[in-house]
Amino acid sequence: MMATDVTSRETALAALRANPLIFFTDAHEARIGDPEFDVTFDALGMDSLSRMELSIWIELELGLEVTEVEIQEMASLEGLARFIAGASAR
Amino acid sequence: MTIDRFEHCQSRAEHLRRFIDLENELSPSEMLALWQGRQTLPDYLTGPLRKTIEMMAAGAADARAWIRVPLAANVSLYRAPQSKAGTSLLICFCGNVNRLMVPIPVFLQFIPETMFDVLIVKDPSRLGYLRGVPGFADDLAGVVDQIRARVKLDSYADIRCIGTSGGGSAALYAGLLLAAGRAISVCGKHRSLSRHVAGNPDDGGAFTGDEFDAMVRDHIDGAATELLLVYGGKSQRDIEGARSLMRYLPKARPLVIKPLDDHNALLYLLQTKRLHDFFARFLFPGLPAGSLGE
Repeated sequence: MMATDVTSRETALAALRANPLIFFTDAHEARIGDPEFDVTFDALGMDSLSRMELSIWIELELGLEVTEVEIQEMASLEGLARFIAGASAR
Repeated sequence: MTIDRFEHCQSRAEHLRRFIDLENELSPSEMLALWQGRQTLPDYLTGPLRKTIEMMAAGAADARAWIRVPLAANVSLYRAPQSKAGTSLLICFCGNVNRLMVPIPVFLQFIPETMFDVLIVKDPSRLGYLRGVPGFADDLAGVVDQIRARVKLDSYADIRCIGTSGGGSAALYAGLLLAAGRAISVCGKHRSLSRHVAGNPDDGGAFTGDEFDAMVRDHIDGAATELLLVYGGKSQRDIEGARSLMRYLPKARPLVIKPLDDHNALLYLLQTKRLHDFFARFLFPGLPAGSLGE
C-alpha cells in the first residue's frame, strides 16, 4: 500500500505522541522514520481513554469531530494519516 | 442545589476533557449524581458515563459514602462521613493520566470507607513525581514532608501506599520514607527507563533524581516496609520496568499476573473479577474475609 503524504503522517505521529496513554517501544522508535512503517493502535496500547484523548486532540488541533468508533476503525498510524489526508483534501 | 459540572464547556472536545477530569476527581456518589442527571448532558457523554457507572457497580452495588476533601491542588483526601478508630490510610500515587488505571470513583468503590481513608496524589507534569506535585511540593521528598504536615499520620493504625504506572516508583519510595506497612507499584518503572522523565528537555537533562535512590538506600536495610512490584507476565515493557526497580530496590518482591500482556493491570483485574481479591490479598492482607465486599 502507498504510504500517505509526509505532512499527514507527521500530523498523525504528532497526534499519537501527544497522547499520554500511548507507548512507542524502542522497536517502534527505530523504524518510525521509515515512511512504509505502520503500527496498529492495539500495539500502541490504545484503550477507550486514549481513543477519547485522540478524538479531543483531533478536534482541537484539526477542527474535526471524530468519534471513538471512527478512531477504532482507523486502526493504525497509517489509518490515522489517511483520515487526516482525506480531511485535508475536502 | 444542582452543580453544573460542565459549566463553560461548549465544544465536544471541552465536554470530553471535562469528563475525563471529573473521572479523575469525583467521589462515587458525585459520579452517580452526574449519571442521574445525564439527561441534561450531550448524548456523546452517555456512553462513557455508563461505562464508568458499570465499573463502579463491580466494586460495590451502592455508591460508597466517600467524602472528598481537597487538601491542595492535585491532592485530595477521601474519607467516610464519620471518623472512626483504627482506620488505615491508603496513599495513592496516580499515573501519568491522573488516575489509578481506572477512574477514581471506580477505584474507591473497591475500598471500604469504614476501614480506610484514601489520600490521592497526582503529578500532572508527568515527571514521575521527581518534580513533586504542582501546588503541593517541589520534589518527592517534599511531597512526603507535606503529607506528614497536612495529614495526621499518627492517628492511623497503618499506612499503605500504591502507585500505578508513572506513580509506581513514587509509591515505593514514599512508602519507605513514611514507614508504610506495604507499598505496591503496579506496572511502574525506575525513572532511568523513562524517556520523558530522564531526558526532560525542560530540565536540560540535568535533573536525574539520583538523590532519591540515595535517600531510600539509607532507609531500606532497616525498613519494615514490604515492597511489591505488580506487572503482567507477558508485558515486556512492564517486565523491564519491574527489573529496573529491582536494581535499586532489591528487596522488592515481584508479583506477576502471568497471562497479562497489557499495561493496565488494575483494569484487567477488574474485568476478570479479581480486583477485590487482589486488594484483599496484597494491599490489605489480614482483613477479615469478605470485608472488601466480595
